[in-house]
Amino acid sequence: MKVVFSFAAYYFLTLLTSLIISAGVFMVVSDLTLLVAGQSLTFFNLNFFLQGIFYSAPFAVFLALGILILYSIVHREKVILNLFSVIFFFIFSWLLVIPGNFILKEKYEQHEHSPAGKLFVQTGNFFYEDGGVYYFSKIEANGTLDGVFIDLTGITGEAGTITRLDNISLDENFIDRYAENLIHTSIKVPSFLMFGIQVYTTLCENALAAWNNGVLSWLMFISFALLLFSCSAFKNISSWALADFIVVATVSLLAVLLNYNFYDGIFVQYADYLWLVNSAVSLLFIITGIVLYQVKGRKL
Amino acid sequence: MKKIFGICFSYFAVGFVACICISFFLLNKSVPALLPGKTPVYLFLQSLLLFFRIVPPLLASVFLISLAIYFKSNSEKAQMRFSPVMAGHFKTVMIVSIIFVFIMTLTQQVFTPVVKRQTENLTRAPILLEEYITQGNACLEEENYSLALRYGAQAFKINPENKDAQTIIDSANAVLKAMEPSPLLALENEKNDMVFRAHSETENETVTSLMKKARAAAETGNWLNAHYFSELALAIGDEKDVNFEEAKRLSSHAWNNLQAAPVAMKTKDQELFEKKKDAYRSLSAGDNIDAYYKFLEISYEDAAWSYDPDVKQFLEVARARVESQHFFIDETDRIESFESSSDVYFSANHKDGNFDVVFIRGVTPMAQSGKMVQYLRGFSLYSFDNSGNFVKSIKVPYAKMISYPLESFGKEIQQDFSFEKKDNVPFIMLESIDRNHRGKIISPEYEYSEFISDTEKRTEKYVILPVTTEDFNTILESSSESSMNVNSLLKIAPKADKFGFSKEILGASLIEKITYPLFMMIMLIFFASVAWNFRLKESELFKFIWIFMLPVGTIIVDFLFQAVLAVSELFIYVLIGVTGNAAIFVETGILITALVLVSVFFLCRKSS
Repeated sequence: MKVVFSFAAYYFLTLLTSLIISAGVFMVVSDLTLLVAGQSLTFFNLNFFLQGIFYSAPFAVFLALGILILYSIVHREKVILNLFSVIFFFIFSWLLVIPGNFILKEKYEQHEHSPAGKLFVQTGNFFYEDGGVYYFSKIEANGTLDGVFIDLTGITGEAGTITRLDNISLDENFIDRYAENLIHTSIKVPSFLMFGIQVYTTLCENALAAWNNGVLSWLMFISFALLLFSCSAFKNISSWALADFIVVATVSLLAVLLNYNFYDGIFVQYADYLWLVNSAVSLLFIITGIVLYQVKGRKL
Repeated sequence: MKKIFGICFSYFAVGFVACICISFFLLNKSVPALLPGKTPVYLFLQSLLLFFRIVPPLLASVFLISLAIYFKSNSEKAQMRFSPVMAGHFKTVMIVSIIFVFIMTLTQQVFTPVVKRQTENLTRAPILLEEYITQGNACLEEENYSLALRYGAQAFKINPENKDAQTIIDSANAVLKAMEPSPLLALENEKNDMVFRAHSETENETVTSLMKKARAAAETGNWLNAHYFSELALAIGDEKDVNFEEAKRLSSHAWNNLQAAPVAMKTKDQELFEKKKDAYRSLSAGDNIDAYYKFLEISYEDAAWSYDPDVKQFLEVARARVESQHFFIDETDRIESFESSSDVYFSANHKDGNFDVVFIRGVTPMAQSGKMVQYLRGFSLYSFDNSGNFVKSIKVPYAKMISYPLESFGKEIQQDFSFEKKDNVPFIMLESIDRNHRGKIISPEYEYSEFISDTEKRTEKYVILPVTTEDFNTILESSSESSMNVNSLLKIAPKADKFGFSKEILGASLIEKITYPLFMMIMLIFFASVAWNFRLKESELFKFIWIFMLPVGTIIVDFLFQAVLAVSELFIYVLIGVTGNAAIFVETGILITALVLVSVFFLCRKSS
């Protein structure tokens, strides 16, 4: 019983912590779209935070289940109990938590909520946009701007010229680009992280589409979950727990990459057969797992 | 502990060898054009860069695994939390961590920029070489032999074996040796030995010493010099000076004698004297450019005249005075390829709230007589008043900048600045004239707001920027490199917003670099706890196949580090937005707390 209790504790603890942290990160990145250089930043924004929760829920689940598998590697004594607990939480996550997340997200999006905040352009600093650098010296009473534009790439015809801006007005487009600009110039996201986010977003989108398409298509998507679960079959591959963990982690990541490639990569044309592939590989892994368990044996 | 270091060092060495192999066998397809024989050096530098990139995850992963092996002995002695066994282990962990963090920081923040710069020099060398040779040959064609020689010498410095460089040097030398030295040629060779003489004319002199010279000149009838020295004495002295009255008297007496020379005689000497007097009059009246050209024309007219001591002396004086406010157009010939920074822009505030926006297309630094001088290509300055209204703009194709201490300018000018007297400020000359012939002059373009009346429009020929030279150079540095080193960041980040830059971006970069060691320390000690949880059993021997965990572990750790560092950067960014300049202290505080927590977590590990 104590074991099951620990499982539950670790699961929910990890879920909660990773949800809060991921949602926080999401919120901060969104905050930065409102950041105007030099002004103090409002840190907490409920709308952004909620959006962050909905966006990162699947990732939090993935982490929580990962921690569970890690736990079952470290505490290998109660084999059957471990196995059933993990299976239980997998089912719990994929049939309850993640769909629940989808439903809540839809409800939230249907609500009218107040706009995030007003962004206004600030005077007195340089920002790079449109192939050159803008510097606004004054905002007139009627909202138009004075300043200069330094052409760095020849967009106004001749690179290196500097033109005076007198009473120009801003359009919506410009403000959006201004906001984006600040984030891009300030946050250098490493390329692998960008790739990771892309993989994650693609998978989430496809998950949502599958859920909206009906129960059958959702079950087909869940073959992915089955594959992830079956990766834990490798936890008996070595007598050293650390090695087991590294192998399981690597195989899981490869499984994720495999699925991603069916949606947006080398195997796109076979997308319909993904559930078949997933199920087949899962079966293979599960058989391997049983064999490994028998051969290595979990002798205390 | 020896075992730990043994394992780590072996993996470290393996990693290094792997990088060298990758570089030499995989990367050698994409080597850019280099000087002959430099390819192996380039590939080696690339392997170094690759290796430095993976050093942190490399060290962290091998740290974890070697500790997991190390902890297997005596582990059952740790029955209670905070046991002496754990304390002993903690000491080991700390020592190894500190050494590893030191190596990580060194490779990331010191070695990597150095190696990157070396690589850049290697790739730039053939381009520069070609440029020097092209320019050298062009100079030879234009018969500008001294300049050609300089280009040839530079090319030679880059690659002594280059035949074209040698040819240029030889050709130039041949011609130069054959030419007769004349004062005019000496002038050409001194092109870049300029000395700011407006001060040095009176540098070591006092009113008394100048008066002595004036009197001596008067006695020999050299009224030109008599007037010159007495005028200088008047310039540096004041009414209370003992010799002041005498200086005034001598000056006007000498002037009268100059005027009284008979006009009727027309010998060569007297013609020369007339011309000298005329030119000197311009000099005395303050029209330095006119005087300069007049003396120059005298020396052109007759070879004998160019040897006249007065002509030589006053040509020098005129030239020095001209150069204190103008520069010569040919100084900016062909220097564009040697620019050290390009597309520099910043804003600067005046003491009274008005501000300027400055844009410079390219900056070429040069050493001239021991001083650093900078040529600014495409210099534009837009002035705004303190409400942000446009006032005026100045644009010029080339400007010359010399740095002077604020105290060398007059009191009126000094008052406009809020710097210390000893601070150096950039003095920018906007007008350039032809060195040898009257007529060609490049002046700045002015534009005014319609609210400025004609009487208020001023067309000054120079500008003193309201920034210190030190800040100016730091701004230049930040334009030429995308990532600055900690020193420049430290100098500029606190005042970044004064120059129109985002304090958040620069500040975040600075804080990241400073807190990197602390951050890595926390990671390593956390890994030590993980290593304890995954330690080998007492009786377990390390199996060979487990070696393959290391590279996989390195990759996973790399992902982890990158993700955590990215999130931390975001956090620092927000911290700056919320706490401003105190962000660095807050961040350090948070990290130290985390370090303590992670250490406590380790110390309370026990064998379960």
